[in-house]
Amino acid sequence: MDADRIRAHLDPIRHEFADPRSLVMPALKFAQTEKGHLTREDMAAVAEATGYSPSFIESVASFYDRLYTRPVGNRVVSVCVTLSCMLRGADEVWDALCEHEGVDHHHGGTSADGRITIQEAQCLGYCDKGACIQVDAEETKGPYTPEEAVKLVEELREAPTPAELWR
Amino acid sequence: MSIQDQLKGFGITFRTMLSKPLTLGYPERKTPVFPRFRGRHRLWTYDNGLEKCVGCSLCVAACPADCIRVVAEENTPQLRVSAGERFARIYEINMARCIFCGYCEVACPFDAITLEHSYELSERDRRELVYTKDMLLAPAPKQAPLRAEGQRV
Amino acid sequence: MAEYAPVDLTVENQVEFELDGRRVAAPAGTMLADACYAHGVEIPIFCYEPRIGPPIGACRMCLVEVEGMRGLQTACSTPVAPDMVVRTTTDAVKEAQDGVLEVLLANHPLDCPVCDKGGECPLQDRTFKFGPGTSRYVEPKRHQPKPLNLSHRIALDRERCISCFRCVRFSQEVAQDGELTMQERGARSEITTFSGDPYRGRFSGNIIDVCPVGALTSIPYRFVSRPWDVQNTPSVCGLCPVGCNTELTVREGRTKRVTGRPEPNPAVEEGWLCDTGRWAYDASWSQARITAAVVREATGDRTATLEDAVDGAAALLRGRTAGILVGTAATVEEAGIAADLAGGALPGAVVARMGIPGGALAPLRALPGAQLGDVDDADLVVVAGGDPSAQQPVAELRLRKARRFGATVTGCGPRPHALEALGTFIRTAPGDLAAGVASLAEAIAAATRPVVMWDEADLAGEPAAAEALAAAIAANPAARQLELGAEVNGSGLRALGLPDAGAVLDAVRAGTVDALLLVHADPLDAPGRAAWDAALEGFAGPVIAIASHADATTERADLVLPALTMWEQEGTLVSMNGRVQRLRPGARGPEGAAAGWELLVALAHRLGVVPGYRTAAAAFRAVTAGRPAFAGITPEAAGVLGVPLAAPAQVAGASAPPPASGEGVPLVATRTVYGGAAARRSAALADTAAPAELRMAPDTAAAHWVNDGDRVVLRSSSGESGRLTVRVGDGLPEGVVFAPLGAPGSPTEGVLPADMAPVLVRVARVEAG
Repeated sequence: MDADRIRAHLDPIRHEFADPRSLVMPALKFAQTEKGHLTREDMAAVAEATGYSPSFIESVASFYDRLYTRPVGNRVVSVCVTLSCMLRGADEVWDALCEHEGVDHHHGGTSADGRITIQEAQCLGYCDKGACIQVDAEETKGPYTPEEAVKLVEELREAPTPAELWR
Repeated sequence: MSIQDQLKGFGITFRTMLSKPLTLGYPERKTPVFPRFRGRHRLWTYDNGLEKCVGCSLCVAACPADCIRVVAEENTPQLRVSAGERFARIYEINMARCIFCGYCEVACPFDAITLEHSYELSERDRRELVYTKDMLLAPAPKQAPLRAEGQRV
Repeated sequence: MAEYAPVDLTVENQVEFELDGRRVAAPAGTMLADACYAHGVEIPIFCYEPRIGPPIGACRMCLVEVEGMRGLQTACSTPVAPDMVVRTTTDAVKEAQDGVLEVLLANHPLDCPVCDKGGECPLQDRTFKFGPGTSRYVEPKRHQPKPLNLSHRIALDRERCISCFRCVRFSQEVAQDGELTMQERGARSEITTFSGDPYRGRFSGNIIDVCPVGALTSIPYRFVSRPWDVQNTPSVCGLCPVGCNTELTVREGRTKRVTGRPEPNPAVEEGWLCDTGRWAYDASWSQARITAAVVREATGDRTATLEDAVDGAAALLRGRTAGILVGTAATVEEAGIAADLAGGALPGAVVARMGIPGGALAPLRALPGAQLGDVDDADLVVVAGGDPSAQQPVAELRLRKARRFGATVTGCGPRPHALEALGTFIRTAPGDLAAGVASLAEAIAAATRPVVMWDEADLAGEPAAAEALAAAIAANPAARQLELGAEVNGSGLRALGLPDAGAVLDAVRAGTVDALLLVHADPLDAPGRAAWDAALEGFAGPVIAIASHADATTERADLVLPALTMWEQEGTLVSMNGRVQRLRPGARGPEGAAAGWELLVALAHRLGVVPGYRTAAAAFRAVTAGRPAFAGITPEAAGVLGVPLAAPAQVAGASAPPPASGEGVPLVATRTVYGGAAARRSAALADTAAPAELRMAPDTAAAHWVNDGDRVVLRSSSGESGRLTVRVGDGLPEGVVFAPLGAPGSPTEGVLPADMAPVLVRVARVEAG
């Protein structure tokens, strides 16, 4: 995405932000809509459009879980690994999903068929329903056992698009 | 001086001739050393051939005689010498200055250097007393016998 | 330690508070950590670094108990308050310190024996002094591939990073290069540049100095020595006229590292060094280094011992009238002894200095001067001409700091540069700096504490602008001027009263001298080169060069005496704004070389006139005696931090250059410290070498029928340049061409006159790109 398109997107909302730094977030979110993740060029374009250094833009993008600096699958499955969920077996759920999708147990990742991305999430506010899982930043559910989680991922793999599933 | 005194003196001479001598016939026979005797240094390697020494120079810092010189270098995939990131390209001990205090051994975080039992270190030229890394990595050419439990010389 | 801000305990109206049961006082606004340190209580810190900016409280190491405040407070970000009761040794504080260190070390590898920081590591020291001694963490530590090359010169070991943000804040706030940031978060946080690109910065090396752990280390110094193997010598950098105070790390007779001083000089560099000053030291054993005396004979060159060579030099000079030319990097001692020779050993010798005559600058230099440190409290900083970011590197950091502190930055000049983003800059036409100066006069008059930085090379060529600027500064009694010099020791040579090189050049042309002695002087690589080329063409007498590195002039010399470099010799340098500072010998230098001043003294002995000094310090006293600029200045008075000259460094009677004549396009030349001669000789800085490029705007290129990549030569009334490669760039002003000074082979110097008068050049293509 080029800087001009990002500028065009930012101009109508510019007045809503007292601190121009706050514009970085909507700019990054908008830049991500094109490919589903942020490439080096996207971040350089955001830097140009907002006037901050590219490395600062990348640091913001890498901070937030929902801004992807690497390609992601059609569905993003976030497993909460914070304390409450961890005590309720999140580690087992995580391991089972990573095993099932064949991704790295430390960092998660995207399955070979490009359908599913497994990633860690910090507390999603579902401490009473741990271990909880959030799909596509849309809906959070719990509690999940490892078997149920694998089943969920299989269902997600079959489901064509997020829109159809959650409608 | 009476004849009596002379006989007394010869008596001591003859008695000593028959008793076992206190001295050893060095170098044919060598004085055995105690297990904790501190002699010539030795640098050690792991079983896989990598040197234990990483060239950290802590022995240099500990040495009260300032007789160790270490110049370190980085291990590369082509030239991997030690287990750590760095290794000692030059490791020299000037044996003419060493006082065999064993502080280098105490300071070494990797047990790479120890003081062994060999004590035969004399050379004809003092320059030959600067021991290089290759010399220190090899076992001492002249080994000293170890004193057995309860052995008296 | 430099890590704490210096606290002035002598000011009036201090705030009284209680520190560990003692009644103490500190000026209002002092941070508790600094105040405690000033009163002998060390509060451990990692992230706090007052030189970088306001505290951020990231590391939590400085927790102390303050009565009446809930919980523990961070001493680095809590200012002292009246009757505050502070306790630094209670159980709660101890527990907090133990806890913080335990967590910091949870992921910090204990590879101190292989770590370059080991032995001089704040984390090591503070763990030893304040730490718990044990850890409850038995889990495996975080592991990362190590090390990562942040640039050609900086290695990053991410395992060791404790996320103190010092390097990030240096990059973002001090150098403002916007390169380093912290990415990811939590335990995965890591320092990196955009997409892992190499760190490009003019001051990148300073992050090594500020890193409190071994996460950032210098690649040229990697595994080279340990702190107990070395001697550290405080010295001064002699690569540019700023005169940054440095510390030389010397092992086995060689300079192995140059760092900012642990006790920085607040009046000059504040502990920050540019990358050239930090890494150029390996030039002292580069290929070009002259390690033995060279005697040129009809049968060919031969090397000689130092004794024989000095004897030879004396034999060549005996009975002749010598012209003695002193280079701009020569020390005060070398220049002074050379001048002394004219009075004794070499009667009738003509002694002169290289560099800009600067006759037009006298009114500016006579005005009250500022030190670089004074820029901090200015409310207005004016940059008249020049490009400090390329020519006087550390001055750039001072400007940026002044801007951070709220000063207005403005200026004018013919060339675009990196500092224009700091404020309003007026782009002037080449040769018309006066117009820019006129528009700045009002701002200077209105400001309460203005500092006017002016570029020696630019203003020397434009007497009208210099005069106007001097008038504008004089109009405001609070205003001070700060010279952005062009020559390393230019001020020192002027303060000794040496005339400009024209005196020797004229004598050579007129045939009144029949021998030449060059002391660190390289007239064949300097502006005005063409005139020297012509003059030396027909010069029959012997040329004797005292030099440390081979250059165009040592190639021409009949006898070369190998001299020591600034990393190896004793001496005195005077910085651009007249600060007298001492070089201290760190390294030994090659076997066959000697300090320039020693060679000159030996020469005087051989010539039968024994000088009254045997040491550099005695020579300094002798040669500066009777010079008003050096009144009261002794080596002892200069001490470790240096002292300002007693009077401006002026030479009376220098001529002002005429305006540009002839036809062609104006040329703007920029002397660059990055990629200059010292950087080229250094292996560590090899990738920074400045290419010999002629930059111009697209329409200007079209007007001269050249394209990007073409090889061209320039011709002016002063001479012809070497080959330059055309670079067409947007954003450059039209109708002017830009070229670097000090590029390999010094091509640009050929078209410039020695007095840096504006020149018009004709561009001729010799090879299509």
